[in-house]
Amino acid sequence: MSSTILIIIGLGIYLVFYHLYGKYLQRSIVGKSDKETPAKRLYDGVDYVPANKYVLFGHHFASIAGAAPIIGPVIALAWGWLPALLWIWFGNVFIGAVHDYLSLMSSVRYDGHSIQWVAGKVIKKRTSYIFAWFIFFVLILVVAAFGAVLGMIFVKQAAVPTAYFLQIFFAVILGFIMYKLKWNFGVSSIIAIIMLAASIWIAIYYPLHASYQTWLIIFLIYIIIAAALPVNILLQPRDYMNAWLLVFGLVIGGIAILFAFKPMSIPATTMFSAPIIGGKPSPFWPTIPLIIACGSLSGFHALVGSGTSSKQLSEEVEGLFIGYGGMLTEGFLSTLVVLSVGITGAGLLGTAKSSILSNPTAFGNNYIHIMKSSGGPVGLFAKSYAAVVYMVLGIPKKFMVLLAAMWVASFAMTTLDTTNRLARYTFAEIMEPIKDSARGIYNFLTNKWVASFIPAAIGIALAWGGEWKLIWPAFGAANQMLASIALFTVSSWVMRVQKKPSWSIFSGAIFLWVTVTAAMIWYLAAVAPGAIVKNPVQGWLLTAIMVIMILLNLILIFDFSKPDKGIDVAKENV
Amino acid sequence: MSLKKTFKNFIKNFGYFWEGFKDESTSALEMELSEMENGFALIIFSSLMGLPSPPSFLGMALLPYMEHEIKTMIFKSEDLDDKLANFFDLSDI
Repeated sequence: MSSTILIIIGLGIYLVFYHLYGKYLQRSIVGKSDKETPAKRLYDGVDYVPANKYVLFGHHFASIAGAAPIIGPVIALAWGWLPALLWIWFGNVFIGAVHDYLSLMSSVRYDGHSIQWVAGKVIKKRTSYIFAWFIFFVLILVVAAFGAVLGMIFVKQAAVPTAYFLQIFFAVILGFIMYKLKWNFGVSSIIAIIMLAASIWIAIYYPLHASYQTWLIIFLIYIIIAAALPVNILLQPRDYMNAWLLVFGLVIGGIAILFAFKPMSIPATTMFSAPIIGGKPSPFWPTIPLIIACGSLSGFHALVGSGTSSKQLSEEVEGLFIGYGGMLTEGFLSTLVVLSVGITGAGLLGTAKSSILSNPTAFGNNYIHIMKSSGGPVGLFAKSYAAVVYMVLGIPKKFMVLLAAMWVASFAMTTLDTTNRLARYTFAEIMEPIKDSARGIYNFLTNKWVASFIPAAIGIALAWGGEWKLIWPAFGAANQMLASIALFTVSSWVMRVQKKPSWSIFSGAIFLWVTVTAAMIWYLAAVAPGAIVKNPVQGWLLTAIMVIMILLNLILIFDFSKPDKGIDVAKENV
Repeated sequence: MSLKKTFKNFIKNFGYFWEGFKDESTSALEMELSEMENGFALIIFSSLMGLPSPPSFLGMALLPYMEHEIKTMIFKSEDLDDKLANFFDLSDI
């Protein structure tokens, strides 16, 4: 089937469900409030500021779109492109977008408080605490998963680290130009684009070679130092350059794939249990959410949506466009990723391996090895993306490979350092219960440097063996469980506060909870024993995290079935 | 709506969209600024938050100019049991 037709089908599904299901949620579940949004009611000119809906959409999308919606779908192609696309599309419209939209709206109804805070109000105080634990695990596993994937691409494509470090250097110069010299913003933007292009061209000629473990040590040092640097020196100018990368990548890639008119060259389906997670035959159900996380549904979005977006929403009616629409756009990005690899897969494999393509089972069995030789999921995506852009727009392949790898690497690096900051705050929050009983230990563990080092060191230790096939699914599990808690929270909000039928949301929450719990149990039974034998430190760490998450999971479902009756939820709903 | 008007609207809305991207990259800076404003207000006007510190001469002299900082301080104090959400916006994931 042609990639152009698939894009049109995907867009059609998104449009139909946005107007039917999305509007149904808006009309019948969220309803109208006679109060103004927190952005207007609590206007303070800092956090609470009503924003234009397109501006807020851009902000929200840039916050939720990182490297994960690119990496996950590339790995999931081992099951074939059709199951991957179906999971992205239907996971999006029935669960992911619902989750994002309702998290945003429940936060709006609670003065812009986070979904974690709302969970403590509409279910139990303890649920909020469980939320914090899941967040902490997600953050550690993000450091591990992104560290492993980045380490691999840095080794395989040695020009990427050069380009990335040049970008950091240029970001500092850009920060100086913008904040010290106070040059005009338009001029600074042009300089930023020139710097980006220059970093890629220079990198082609001066690659940086180092071993995987060396890169991991550099990441560890980098994320601890980056977390301590003033934001205007590095983070802000670099994020600004990243925004250009994202827009450029999306626009160029979108145009190229839309006008490629090429048939999919890899099998539509391969086998139900393709060898993916830890190299073991991984059944599509229940393990798919462990692989495709952010492209289909992501628990992190609930926190992002209820952090800033809910405080800047000027009209409640715009929430659907921001929350539901934002998630569909991310799904569209993942769709482009699947199509990009799908139509160029044959070219990437080379004629020597073309026999694999004609045999779906052989393709499913060998896909992970093929990906590994291309530099992992990021490497394969970069190569396929460059091939499509070259095919349609004629931009040199070498340049586009680096640009695509830089795009993903920059977002992954941004995630690495900001994640470590977040892990530090979350760690301080979960240590709160020992604050009075063991003051000395509490003070030591929550010290800025100690609290930064602990999650970073655990994350890097997990990534040390390079087993991204074990770490990525563990990150997916934690992320999806976070989504499940958020869905239970919004289900409770709909039932107890909105007093509306919540079957559609509740069934999504239950489906996700059952699927991810089953996947985690499968992971412990089928994958963990082998991981422990191969690499005891990594294996036991992952097993311990999984076991704790399953236990918290059971407490969560118990709490949901028996919420606190003492909380006057209606009164809390301002 | 004419084609020209539709195109103009598209360009205008894309401009807004881009503004949002830019806004996302400056949010870290804005957050740090508001933290610094909060810290400054706490030093000068902690008595407003119930901390036992008498208003200083400096505080009294600055009072007419610090409406914004005091508002920030009060909002932040109300958000003390829900700090994480603000930080999550800074993370691209």
